[in-house]
Amino acid sequence: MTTLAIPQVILTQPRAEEPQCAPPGQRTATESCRPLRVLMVETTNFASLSPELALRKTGNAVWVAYQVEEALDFLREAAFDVVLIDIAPAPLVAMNVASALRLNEFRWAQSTPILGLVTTPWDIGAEEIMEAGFDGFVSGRLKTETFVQEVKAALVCAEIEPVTDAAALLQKAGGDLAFLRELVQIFEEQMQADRVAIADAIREGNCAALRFAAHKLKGMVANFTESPVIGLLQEMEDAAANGECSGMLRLLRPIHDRLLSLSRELRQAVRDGAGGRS
Amino acid sequence: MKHILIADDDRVTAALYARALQSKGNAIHFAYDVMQAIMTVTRSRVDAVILDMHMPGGTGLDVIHRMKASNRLGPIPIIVISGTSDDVTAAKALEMGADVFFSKPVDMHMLHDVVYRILAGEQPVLPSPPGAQTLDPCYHGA
Repeated sequence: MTTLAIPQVILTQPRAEEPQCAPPGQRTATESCRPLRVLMVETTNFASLSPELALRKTGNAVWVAYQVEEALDFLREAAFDVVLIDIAPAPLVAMNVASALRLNEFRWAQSTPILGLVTTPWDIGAEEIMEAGFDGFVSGRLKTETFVQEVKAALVCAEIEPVTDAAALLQKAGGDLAFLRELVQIFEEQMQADRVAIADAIREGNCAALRFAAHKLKGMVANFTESPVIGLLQEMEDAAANGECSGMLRLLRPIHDRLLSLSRELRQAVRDGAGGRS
Repeated sequence: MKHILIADDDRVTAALYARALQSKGNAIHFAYDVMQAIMTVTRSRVDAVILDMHMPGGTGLDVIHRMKASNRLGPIPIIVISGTSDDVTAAKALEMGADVFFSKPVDMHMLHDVVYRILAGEQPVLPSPPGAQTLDPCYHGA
């Protein structure tokens, strides 16, 4: 068994500001401007040396975790551009690991892309992979350059359009910027509580709780804007109402991305004096 | 001074309602779950209740049921505001004794007008323009 020691330096490194993914149309995935920070999670005691070596040879930094708790510790302490989980040796274990990472990251208001390493794309159904919380998969048997390109290509960011209008936000707050600031602060606090409630409900398979939490978060977002996240939360609420909780992991990342974007817009509106008015 | 209870677990929504209703020096009370709502109407003076249907610990219907079963609390006007706009929920709330039912999101001026007319003992004016998507008020008062 080749267990790599957890590098202590990772505890003191600042989290990367932005994920290493390419906004559509801005640059190709192979034109990345810095090396990737990769967390590999092995589902057996045997390391996937080929993908690891391929990433290292091309200048990327790789950390390896052999247990889900270890992977969670890494993610709690530092930012990674991507998590690679070896699916082929133990698909069910890999899916459980992906689920655990996705749920915990949602609780922490984080979202690191999770890719599955497969021997062939037919190792396991793509739908099952996505429902377990993976964002996609790559073959670990590709040649070095191709493999790295495939990983980077899978990290293309979703393009999220702005959904708020600063002046309209201020109007909702009765033209009172201080009140808008207070609303945004309440939103941030309650959103975090709702994220935890959603993650816990999915983990526990508690569809009633999931329906309630998704409904509540949807209502709160609707106070500010008609963001597409409302549609995603409605989908989650409807699925939960039909007793379908387990597949909702696939919605966590798009919901996170949109909530994060909305949150940034709201904070920006407050910083800008909501369109220059006070 | 009138005392208005806002019972809604969504604190952003509750803050917006409070803002709309706090004029004229009225006192606003908050409850963020069903038990808190029942405790507040039972222990404090409350002249009107703004009630969400979906809250931790039960539903708005539980609050209506408890209030309408009491001689003292029964006459307090209840304005239900729900993110669920289905007719069954509205009908049930009104049948149990709620005075007005709104679907979210609510126009704050409309909410202010309705609440203060009810508090003044007047029948609220509830315009319901054809095709209105977001405002679905039903009045069931005296």
